[in-house]
Amino acid sequence: MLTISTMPIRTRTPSTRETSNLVSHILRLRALGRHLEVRCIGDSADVLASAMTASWSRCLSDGGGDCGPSDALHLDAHLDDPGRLAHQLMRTTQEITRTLIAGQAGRLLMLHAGAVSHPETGASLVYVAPGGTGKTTLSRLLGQRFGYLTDETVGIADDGAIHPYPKPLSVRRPDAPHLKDELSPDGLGLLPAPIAPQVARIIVLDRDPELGTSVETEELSVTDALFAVVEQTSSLSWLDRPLHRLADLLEASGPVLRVRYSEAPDIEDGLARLIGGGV
Amino acid sequence: MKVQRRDATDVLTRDGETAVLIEGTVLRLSELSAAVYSLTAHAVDVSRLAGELERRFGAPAGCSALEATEAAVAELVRRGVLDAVQ
Repeated sequence: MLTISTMPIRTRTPSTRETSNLVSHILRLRALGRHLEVRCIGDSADVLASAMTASWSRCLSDGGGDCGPSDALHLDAHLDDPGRLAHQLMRTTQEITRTLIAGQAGRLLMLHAGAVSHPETGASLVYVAPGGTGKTTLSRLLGQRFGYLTDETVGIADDGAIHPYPKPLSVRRPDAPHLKDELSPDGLGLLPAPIAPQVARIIVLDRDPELGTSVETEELSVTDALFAVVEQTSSLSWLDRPLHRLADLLEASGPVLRVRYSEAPDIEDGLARLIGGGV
Repeated sequence: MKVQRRDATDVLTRDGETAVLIEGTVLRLSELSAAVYSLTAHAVDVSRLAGELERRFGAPAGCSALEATEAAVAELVRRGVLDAVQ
């Protein structure tokens, strides 16, 4: 699975840095149904590549030999100062997500959501929510008993199949909220994605820290669900008949629930029951 | 004044409610607004539109059909669903 190139590739530097060589390492990833090659460059490229190999362990691909697939996406990640590693890892994660989303525009229905999947049946729970409102925390919790699919973007084919994006979990630092640590799902002990995850239920998270331990659940009509979910879609207009595709998905996996809660442990068991209880 | 609807990427009607996707934005249309949208595939004079809406929905309360239609049309133009045309 692991494919950092076995030998660093030495290339001449651009004209601005004539006197030194840049070392680049290629990470080949498979995520959201696409191949992506990340070229780590800069004076500390090896540090960056090593950290990414650990944090992106679930997405590493053997990529088909020395050269990746011809339709692979590409991006560069640059690190000179090792002290900027955490910042660059966070930034690279965001760029990878943007690149993958752009690469699947017009193909997959993509929701800004987390998802986990029953390890035996593949029945998957998709939890839609804006950034910073609990997707990663919930993924970390549910991923102990269900296969971890993503904490960021759920890509859904027209038959309901999910293309996993088991990226590192992006965890905000309490002492530096602008910075997120990119934590390996392996390091956190999350279960792997099953072979063929399918959308079983979709919920809309509405986190309210003032709610205490109570949990409020509301069934949404297809139209209300559509308007609740549509703001958390990416590249929706690129799809053929996008509103119909989204509505059909919401109807097939419905009823969509809006779940108001304060802390993830308060809803863990209730959500687990929606897809068969887990392990 | 005449109005004409903008091209939508998609229009969805479920359970009596209509959603329309125009230039990347999804809008919820009331039953009256959905009727306006369906009637403006080509440029239509607002007074003629008012007559058709009155035939479908009856006379509005508190104002004329033309006044009600002008208000609805103005809102749909503001939201980017319709264009005012000569």
